Amino acid sequence: MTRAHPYAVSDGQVNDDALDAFLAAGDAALSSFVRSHTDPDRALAGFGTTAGPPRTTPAAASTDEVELSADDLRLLAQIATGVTADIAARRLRLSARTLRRRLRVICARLGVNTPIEAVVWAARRQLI
Amino acid sequence: MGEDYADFVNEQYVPVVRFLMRMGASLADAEDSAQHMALQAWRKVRGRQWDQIANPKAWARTVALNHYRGRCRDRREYPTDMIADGPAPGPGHDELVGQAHDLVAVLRLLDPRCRAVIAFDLDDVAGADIAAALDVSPQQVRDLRAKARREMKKHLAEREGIRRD
Repeated sequence: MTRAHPYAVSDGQVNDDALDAFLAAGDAALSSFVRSHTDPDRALAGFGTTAGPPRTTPAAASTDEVELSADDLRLLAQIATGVTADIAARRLRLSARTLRRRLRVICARLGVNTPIEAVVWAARRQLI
Repeated sequence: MGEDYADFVNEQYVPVVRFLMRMGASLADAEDSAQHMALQAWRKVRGRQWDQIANPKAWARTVALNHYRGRCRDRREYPTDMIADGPAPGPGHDELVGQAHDLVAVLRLLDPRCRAVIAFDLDDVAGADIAAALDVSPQQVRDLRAKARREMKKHLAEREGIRRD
């Protein structure tokens, strides 16, 4: 621990300003850590799916040209209700594996990383 | 409506991850709970209940915190190193990680309710909303805050003293 600290104390006391400075500095550091490490692919965990290969370029950035089939939209509408992938699969009479594969395909076509982004994409266009 | 939702999640996702890390969550756990929050928010939007949430910022943190606590209970284990690894993003990284570590280490000395009050304070959540989130009275929030700040000051003074000796 050789770092200099901005919250130097006087007379062995730490005042409110010094404490707030310590909190602010630590929190700013935590913020930049989170921003630089947050991995959107992890968001897939909530759906019990695994991430596809990382995209190197936003290939489908012009997503307005992408069209999803009625089946795809039904699938996204199910996911949007917040149920797990397994329950959504049952409702759509698909196997869970098929559903996850189709979700990955949809995400790839839209050029997004996570199902929730695909849901947002569809919702923004009022498709679901 | 979908657009409001997207804006809300875009705006709140990273701050909620940070909020949970103040509470001692690992990055991965914090992200899982933030994602859970995003899903719950979507359910509210779909159920046309979104407008009933008085303070979305406080709501987001409360939902994520409850999810995280539930997980800790289920696992009966707590992460030991919240900022374990990950690629170093460049110059100054060690310094940043050190400062973040210092903050989390000091917060960890507090009892969980004191820690939660400080974590909410850092996001400027109002006292009444903190009280609701923690299921305590506004007066208790003030007491917890005072206790937390007293303990943190004491700890920092001690640490500073040790460094000087």
